[in-house]
Amino acid sequence: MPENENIVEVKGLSKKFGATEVLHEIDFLIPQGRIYGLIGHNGAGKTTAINALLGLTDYQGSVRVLGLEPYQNRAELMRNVAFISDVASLPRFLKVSQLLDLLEGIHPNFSQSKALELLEGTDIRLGATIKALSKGMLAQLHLAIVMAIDAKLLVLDEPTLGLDITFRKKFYRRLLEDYMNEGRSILITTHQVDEIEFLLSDLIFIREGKIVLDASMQDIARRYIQVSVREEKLNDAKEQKPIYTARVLGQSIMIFDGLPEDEASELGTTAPPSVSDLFVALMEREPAGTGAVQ
Amino acid sequence: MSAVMSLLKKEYIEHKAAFLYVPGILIFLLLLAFSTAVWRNSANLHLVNGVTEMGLPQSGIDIFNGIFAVSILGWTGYLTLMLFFYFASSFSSDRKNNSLLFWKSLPVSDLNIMGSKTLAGLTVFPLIILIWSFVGALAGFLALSLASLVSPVIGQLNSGTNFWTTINIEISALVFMVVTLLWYLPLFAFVGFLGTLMRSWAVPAFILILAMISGLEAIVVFGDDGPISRLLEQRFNAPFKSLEGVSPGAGNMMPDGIHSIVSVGNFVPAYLAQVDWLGMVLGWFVAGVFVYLASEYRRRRLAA
Repeated sequence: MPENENIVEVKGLSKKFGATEVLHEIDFLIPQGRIYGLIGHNGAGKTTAINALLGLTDYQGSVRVLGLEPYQNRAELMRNVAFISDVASLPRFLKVSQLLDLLEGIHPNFSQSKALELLEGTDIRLGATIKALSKGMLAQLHLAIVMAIDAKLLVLDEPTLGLDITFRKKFYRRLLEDYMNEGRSILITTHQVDEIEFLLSDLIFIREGKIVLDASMQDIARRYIQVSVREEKLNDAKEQKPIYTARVLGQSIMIFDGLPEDEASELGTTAPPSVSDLFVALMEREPAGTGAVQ
Repeated sequence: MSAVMSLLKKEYIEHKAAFLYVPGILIFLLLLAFSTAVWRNSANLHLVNGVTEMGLPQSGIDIFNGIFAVSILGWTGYLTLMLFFYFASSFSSDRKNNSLLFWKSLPVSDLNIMGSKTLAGLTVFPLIILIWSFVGALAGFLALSLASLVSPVIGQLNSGTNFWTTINIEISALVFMVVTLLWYLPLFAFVGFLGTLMRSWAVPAFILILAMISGLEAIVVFGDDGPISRLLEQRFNAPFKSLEGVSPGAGNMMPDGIHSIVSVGNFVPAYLAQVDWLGMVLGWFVAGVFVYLASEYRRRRLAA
């Protein structure tokens, strides 16, 4: 695949379960070397979209991952795509060493020595049976396995669900430091959006099967602005139609879409909105999308 | 190690208990029972009476290989039964142990995974049972040899043992087991397919569906044997018409008699000649269809 080509191209992706449509003709692209966060409420369609990308479910519309149609070419696709959908999915009857041996035989891009290197310094013993590992150890092992795969796309669907904060931080830091490079792309879904904000290059918000935001973090920083509004400027600020308003410790916090920095700073102290505040702002907004959340 | 070998190894690790441990325990228990019988001297009396009644000659009998040849039928029966349950369970085991998504994250198609499960059932596990049958034979011979120290009549009955006959039995057993398993392959594949759909209900569903088909056909044809019932009956029967036909003189415990029955040169051609090869090949085709359908169903599954 030529450099800078899109790793993922999704156009008009829809998915129905019976009469219920859970994805409504969504479009997005993931270029090489980017880290995308796919964020949405439970049932928003994140996992369904990811399953379509990974060839785990059929769909309507056009999806190309590394130039392949995923559903008909899942096995071929998995040579260059690694994913964690559920850390509890490692085969429990195997020992750690047996699992690594099997993967060495099954996966042409898996490096057992790299996996062993990644497991150094953890409490995971090679002779341990997987069912005997704690949830944190399972996540560490699964991460070591996917990081030992020389893949072009890594998909992580709630990879740290149920883990404590220390481990979650370690998990993402390791991903960024030991795995990410220009030739790879990562797609992450999580509910703990604040924890992955530092590593994202792009953000997609999905709500009720529709994409409500698809932008790079730079574009988001340019487009959205958060203002701690001074009391005397409250009415002026409301006239600017904030997309989100909240009272925090007696202070009015507003997020604006497209308000120039100089105009915003006249209303109060400005800052880029956090992903979680932006998420709340855009997710709670009416689908028509112009009214402020009061 | 290739992907197929790794997948076979995975099947072995996951399902080895019924093929690796249980036969060893069975052999141990049989030897223990035999040793206890000899130790209590009851075997001595029983065998003396039997020998007297049968009027067998007092020397040159190969009871060891006679028992070993008969035990192959037992091992084949055990293997067939265990493989039936293996297919019923293994086709859905990744769903049962919640590892379906992990295996789907690897560059192996669902058809390859189902194929590897089938291949393991036809190669790895029969090979283990064949090895156990040989280990069991050696242990049995050792036990008979030790028993002959206590009971002279056992030594007399075993005095005609010919190890070349043992080797012939083992090779003939290999052919016998492989042909038997290949004959029952469509039934294995069918219960495997039901396993992918119904998991632990596969075996009851297997019985119920086949009984329903036969029953409904019997109603339609007013109790006569319909073509489906005949087909099922033929498939459930062993692939050979009778071992008596294959082994004229079965029951002859004289060393020459046993050797002529089980020698590869005699047994294998006579046995293969009895097999319905058209039915065999059609069975493979049906098995292929069930394995394919099972893989397509698995392809559409995401979780338990």
